[in-house]
Amino acid sequence: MPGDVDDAAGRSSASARRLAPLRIESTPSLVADRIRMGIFDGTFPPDSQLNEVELARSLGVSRGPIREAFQRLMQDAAAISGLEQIVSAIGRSVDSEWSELVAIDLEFHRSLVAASGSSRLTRAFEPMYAETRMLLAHMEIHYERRADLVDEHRAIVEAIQAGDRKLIERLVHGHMSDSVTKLVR
Amino acid sequence: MTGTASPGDPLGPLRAQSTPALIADLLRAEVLVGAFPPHSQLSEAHLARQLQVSRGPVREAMQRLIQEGLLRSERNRGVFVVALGHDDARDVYLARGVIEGAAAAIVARQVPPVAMLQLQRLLDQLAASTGGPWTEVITHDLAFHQALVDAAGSLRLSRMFHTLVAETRLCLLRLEPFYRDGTEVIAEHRGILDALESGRPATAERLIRLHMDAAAARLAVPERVTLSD
Repeated sequence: MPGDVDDAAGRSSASARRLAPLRIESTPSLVADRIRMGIFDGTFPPDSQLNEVELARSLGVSRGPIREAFQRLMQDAAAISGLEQIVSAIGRSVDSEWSELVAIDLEFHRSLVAASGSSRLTRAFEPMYAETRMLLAHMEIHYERRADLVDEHRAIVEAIQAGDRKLIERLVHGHMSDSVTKLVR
Repeated sequence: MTGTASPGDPLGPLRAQSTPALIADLLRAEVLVGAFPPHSQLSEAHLARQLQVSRGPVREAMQRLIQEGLLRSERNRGVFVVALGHDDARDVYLARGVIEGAAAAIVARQVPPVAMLQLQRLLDQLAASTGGPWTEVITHDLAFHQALVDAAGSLRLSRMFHTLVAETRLCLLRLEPFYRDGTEVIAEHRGILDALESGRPATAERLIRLHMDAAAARLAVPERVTLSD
């Protein structure tokens, strides 16, 4: 562990180190952002191969962060395809029992939070799914067309795919406040 | 933390705490001052003997601290003090950024006058505590954030924040070298409070995220990682 060896030296130079620039985002996440941008703007067309060595050279980083960025992008892709599958399942269940629809709907939101990769956020949200189920056991959210439920969730997934943070936030907030106003006993 | 009386109220509330709650408070305090170092094992029997209580309440107290993320249970091995690594610290601040950012946006939309006064008072106390013992600074820092989340008036946001308090304290213990003169930390909090008072939800939320990112980045400086891995 280099930390142990450097400890004494590290302490004495603590004040100098404070002035080091704060790099808020890690290199892999910056690399992942750049690749994502390249995919959206057509620099990397569908089915084109991404070359680790070339990317490392053009971005001026080593190959490690590139590999980690690839991992992240693949995880993102897996999370999005998981969400898409749940949206399809919601579509298939619009005529099912209300409680069944609620369970699938909550599965979407649980997966969404889990896709953040934060174990603490996932843990903190957990009690609210149980509470939502309890709430919706006695109340229904009134939809003119239950298929609207599919569209609302699909729109969220599409906004995530497009990486549009403002839109994602607006859609999710809208989805929640809408549910509250449509609650009926 | 339970048991701290508010300054305006000399006797403090009289509350009968259960034995497990008292033991949990005691163990938590020990872990948070570093009396039980990371990775060290806690023995139920040994603690029960020392505290002269039976093993049941000790077990229950340990369970509470496991839920708070301060202890970790390993099957067939026992219970250990956690060692928060880089990823944990990043995750603590990421989760706090989301929860407190949401709370800040709500508070900035409502600007509740009483809560604003309280936040101002807590910030003054935080400013006054810098230069003193670091654990005091931490307590005031956390009190500010707790009050901010509570000001949103959402029981569930407050509950989510509460699950992160103990781990935040552990992270803050390692931040001392970066906040020694306190000017930066006060400026960051002041900026957040200004955004809340002037009713700017987007700014308040952004400043909260920046405050968290800055803390996470400071924790990521290599020589402070001797606790982990």
